[in-house]
Amino acid sequence: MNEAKIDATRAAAILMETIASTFADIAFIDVAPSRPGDPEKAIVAPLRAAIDVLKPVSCRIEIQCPATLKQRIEATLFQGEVRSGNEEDALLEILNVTAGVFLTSYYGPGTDVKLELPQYLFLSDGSEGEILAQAAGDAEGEPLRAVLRSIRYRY
Amino acid sequence: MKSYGQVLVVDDSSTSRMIIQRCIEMAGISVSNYFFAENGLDAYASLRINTGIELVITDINMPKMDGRTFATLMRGDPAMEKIAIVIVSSIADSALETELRSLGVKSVVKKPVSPAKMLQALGGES
Repeated sequence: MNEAKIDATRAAAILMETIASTFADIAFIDVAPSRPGDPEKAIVAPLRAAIDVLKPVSCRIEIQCPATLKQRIEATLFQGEVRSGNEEDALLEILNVTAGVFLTSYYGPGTDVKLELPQYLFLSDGSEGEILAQAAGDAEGEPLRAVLRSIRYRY
Repeated sequence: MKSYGQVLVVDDSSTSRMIIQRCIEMAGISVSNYFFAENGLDAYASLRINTGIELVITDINMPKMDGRTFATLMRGDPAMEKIAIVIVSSIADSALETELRSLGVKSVVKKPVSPAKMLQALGGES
């Protein structure tokens, strides 16, 4: 399989569906897809959480959102607990689950999926390729974007 | 309701470890003592020290040693052959479950975990 064969429309729909269900299941936050024609909300102080996919296709899946949404997820999940730093990976875990569910949904059961570990990207690492599919949504008032992009490995 | 003595939860995500523990509690499954590890290598070391652990719940995709390798290592160690293994993973599907069961894994739970999924995976064990 290669990235050129990705159906952008289908991938975007599955990304949106996966993001919505994962946010609801893990963080109890409703994500509604942006409607066609809606002006795209700018993400202020955007955070990029990214996970590289090694199989079945080389690509990167990202969640882009404001830092305030990350903080809200952490507050919801670790409600009542003293901040210890453990909550910092909450968005990364949501991305990890999103990536696994997206790939098994898109490529079907029995697909060999291999993922790298999720990470925050504060600066471009120079390996980003083109955007293959993306889905924008509204997470209870906060803009959210899921992006599937090709990746160029540099050696 | 099912109860366990000592349980080891293995996941590189602290959020995931916390969610797994919460889901077990919300499912009404009693656990006397939890141990935690961030990868298979640390988990294997923990099992050698804490010999009373009776159940391991582990992710697959982890640094240093992944869940598949960890489960294989456990099943090859006579001291650990009776410890039940449950895999939790976002990439779980029927094909992976078949593969993991052949390694001696008791159950496979697809992330995101929920109390109902944990009850199904753990509740029947006596």
